[in-house]
Amino acid sequence: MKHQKGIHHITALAGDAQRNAEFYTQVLGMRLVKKSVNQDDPGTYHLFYGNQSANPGSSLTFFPWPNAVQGKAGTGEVVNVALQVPEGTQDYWESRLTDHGVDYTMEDIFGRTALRFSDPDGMELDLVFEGQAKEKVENVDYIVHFDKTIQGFWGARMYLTEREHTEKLLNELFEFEQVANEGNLYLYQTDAEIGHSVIIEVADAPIHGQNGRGIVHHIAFRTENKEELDQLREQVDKRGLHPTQIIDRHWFNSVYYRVPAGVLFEMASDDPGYTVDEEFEHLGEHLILPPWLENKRDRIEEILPGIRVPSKATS
Amino acid sequence: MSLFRVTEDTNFEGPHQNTLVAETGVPSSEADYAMIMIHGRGASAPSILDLSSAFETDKKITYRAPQANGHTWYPYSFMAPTDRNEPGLSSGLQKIHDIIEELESDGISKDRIFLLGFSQGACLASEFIARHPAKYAGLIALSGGVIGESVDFDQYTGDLQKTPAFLGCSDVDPHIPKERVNETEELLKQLGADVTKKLYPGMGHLVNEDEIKHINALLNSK
Repeated sequence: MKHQKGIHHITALAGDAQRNAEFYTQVLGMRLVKKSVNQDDPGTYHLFYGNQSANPGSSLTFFPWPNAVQGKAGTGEVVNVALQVPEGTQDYWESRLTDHGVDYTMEDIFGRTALRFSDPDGMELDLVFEGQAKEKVENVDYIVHFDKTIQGFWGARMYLTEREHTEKLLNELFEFEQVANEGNLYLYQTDAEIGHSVIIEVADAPIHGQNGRGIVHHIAFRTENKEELDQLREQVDKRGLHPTQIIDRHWFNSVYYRVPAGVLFEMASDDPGYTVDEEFEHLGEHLILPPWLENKRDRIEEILPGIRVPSKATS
Repeated sequence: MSLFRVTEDTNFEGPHQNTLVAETGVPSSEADYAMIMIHGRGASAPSILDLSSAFETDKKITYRAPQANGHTWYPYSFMAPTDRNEPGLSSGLQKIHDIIEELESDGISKDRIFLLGFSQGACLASEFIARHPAKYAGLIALSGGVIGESVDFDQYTGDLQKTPAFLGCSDVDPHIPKERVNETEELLKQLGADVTKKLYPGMGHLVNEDEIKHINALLNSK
């Protein structure tokens, strides 16, 4: 079976960790698949939400940072994260958002219906109604019924002053093909079931954003394994984009580089995955530290604010 | 060599330009005053914001704290030749300038903006105010002083227009020689600030109760 290309994960900045966890688990019904720390700032969390199977292509991750100022989105950034929900679940999701006091608008995304709203930190999210529900995963909690729940990423929208070069990278490195264009919006897709779409919105002029909560930090694309990651890294290097060395992120291997249009790209391997240090049924239940931080656990646990995520829905 | 000063046209790009800013207190839209709080080496923006919980005032204040990249504003002692502390130093000054600009665009003018710093943050705050004199609501420099191998008084020009400045430090601080605190007082006075200096005998490198009293007095004198 050919490896599916697409978005691996998207990482954004959040404010309060508890508020972030409640929104993504209790309101959107995603599964907290990993509770860890920001490896560059171990006094703060790194929280991973995904679908019930914890597949690559479903991980929306956050660096919550207490008291972070609200960011302002600008050009050179991912400005919208779209999550895929099964066709025919629109009424359900409208009621659910309304019940939780989330204001939304109805949008058309290249012929698909979507609900658009913001998370508590102001990050723009879409729920895109497309495709079918995955089979139910056993021994895992579903806050939203399995046939209505979030399947993973539909895609992401980048707001850029430059299109051609980024398009070339998406195509040559990650097999995204342009499939549609409406005005200043261009849609690129792969054949993956989730995480298959990237939209480039072309801006007339650069807009200087402000870093803060609600801002996407980076977008990661899938590679099958470390070998392929290494090959892709060489290609990126040949293009003069100064990729980092391969960084061991414990659950995957990563390479980072900023594309000329401004977005921080990551390439991440599907292996070894989130079950490398926790049983699948118990993902996200305990604070997991990468091995090199384990000897600082006491201090780290002392600094981190407590977060409580009920495993079962409260509504 | 003249001192780097942030102007409308300098967009210094350095290690602190993309770090986050923490905030607490009232939102800037409702605030009468703002305070920019600058943390010390190894500390973090949220941790210096916590100090604001010790303040007693009825003033509506919005607090902002920039985070230094890698938890340090510049690598060496503030007494090292300044070029060794680049680009961190200029990047930090630019960061403070940008927050002031942001607050001004929210309708809070400089004379309603306090700058507070502890340790390395106090050094950065005093250096900022000395290089960019204007009428500020106040400077609170806790265990710090202006930056450089020596203080070149001729390099600094401008008018602080009686900006109240409080300098508090131990007389035997392991990082901050009291001579430098005295020189900081002298420089700020030369620039027209209204300076209160307290050297606490034998105190450690910390913030004490008396300093909090002075901060409260300054906040409530407005």
